[in-house]
Amino acid sequence: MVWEAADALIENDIVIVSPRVAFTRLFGLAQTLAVWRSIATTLARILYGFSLAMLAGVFFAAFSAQFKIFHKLILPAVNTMSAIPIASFTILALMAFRPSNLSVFVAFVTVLPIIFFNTHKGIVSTDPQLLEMANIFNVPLHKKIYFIYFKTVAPFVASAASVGIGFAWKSGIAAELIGVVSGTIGANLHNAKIFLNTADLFAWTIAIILLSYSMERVFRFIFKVKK
Amino acid sequence: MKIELKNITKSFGELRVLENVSLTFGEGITCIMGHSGAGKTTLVNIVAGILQPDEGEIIGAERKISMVFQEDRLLEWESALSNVLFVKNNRERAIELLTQAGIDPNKKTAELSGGMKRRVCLCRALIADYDILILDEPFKGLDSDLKPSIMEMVKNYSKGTVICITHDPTEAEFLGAEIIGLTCM
Repeated sequence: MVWEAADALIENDIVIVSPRVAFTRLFGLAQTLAVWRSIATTLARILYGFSLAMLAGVFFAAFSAQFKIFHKLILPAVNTMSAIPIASFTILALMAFRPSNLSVFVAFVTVLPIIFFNTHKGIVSTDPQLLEMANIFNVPLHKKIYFIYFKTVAPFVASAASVGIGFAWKSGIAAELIGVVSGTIGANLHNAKIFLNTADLFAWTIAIILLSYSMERVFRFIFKVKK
Repeated sequence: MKIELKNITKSFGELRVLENVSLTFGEGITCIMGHSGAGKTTLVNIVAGILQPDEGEIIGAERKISMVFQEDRLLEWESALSNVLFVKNNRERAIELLTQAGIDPNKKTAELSGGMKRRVCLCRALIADYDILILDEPFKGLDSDLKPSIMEMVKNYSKGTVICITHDPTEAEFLGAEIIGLTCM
């Protein structure tokens, strides 16, 4: 309604298009193979960066909880990572990486701090009395990890990951847009902007929102994260 | 098999809880009795190796220990059965013990009452391989009609050296235990 009203008020197709035009364009885009290729490329790279960040974040957090000196060493680096704007990271990364790896790297550095901090918080909040109980009964390490650490930390990791997936998606596309990485969603957004093709811009934005929402739903289904 | 405590002293900051305590726990059940704050839990925690004494020596503590803690220390998100299997993977025995204690093995621990949790703790302690069994108020929160059957379980299934903290002399009497009294300092 607001969108319709804004379109009727502004009456300028370069600034805003109606929902009908945007969705018609989206439907048109969905029928071309190149668009699906762009989506698949972006999705694969972002998921790759996200997965690496998950692995590294959990590993660093576990190591950090175990060794205080490592925590002290890594903390400034992770804090810096979370403070640096995505645009700065992208420009720096453009000099170091091939454009094809840009969104992988940017998704990685965006998600890593989220996973690291949450997992670390989960590990240190593990009930020391339960660990003491397990030690008294000489419970083997694999049981301690599964029944105590995993069960305590899993909700923290799942919650961080569900937030992280959204960040990975947004930052990855932003990186593709800044780096104009060909054959990606970011490049399509860039082209729409350059050619003042507002219908395409709106259609791609809707597609990004739908994809982001779907990814989060799939993730929540897999990890059974409750809202 | 015995465990010997020699001149054990333990303080928490300014508060001296145990001073020059010398005791010997032999085979069978020994009940430690005393008022709150007398140092009963501190004493058994020293035997279990959870706390270190400031002074003194423990001879024979380097054996397998099983324990009912003062707090339940159960995996609340697991079933009663999983909690017992956590310490020893003997499904048949675990179900037998839990059933005898009147606990549905598949019930989530979080859904159990305080008394039921206490019984799960006892089953967990009884199933473990141990030489020394430490029971810190194991019958706390149990209904009076249930207590005798649970005490019977302890009497029948415990072995080796058993150290039991209780406030109730009738419990010690029922268990046929030797009694040691601790007084506040």
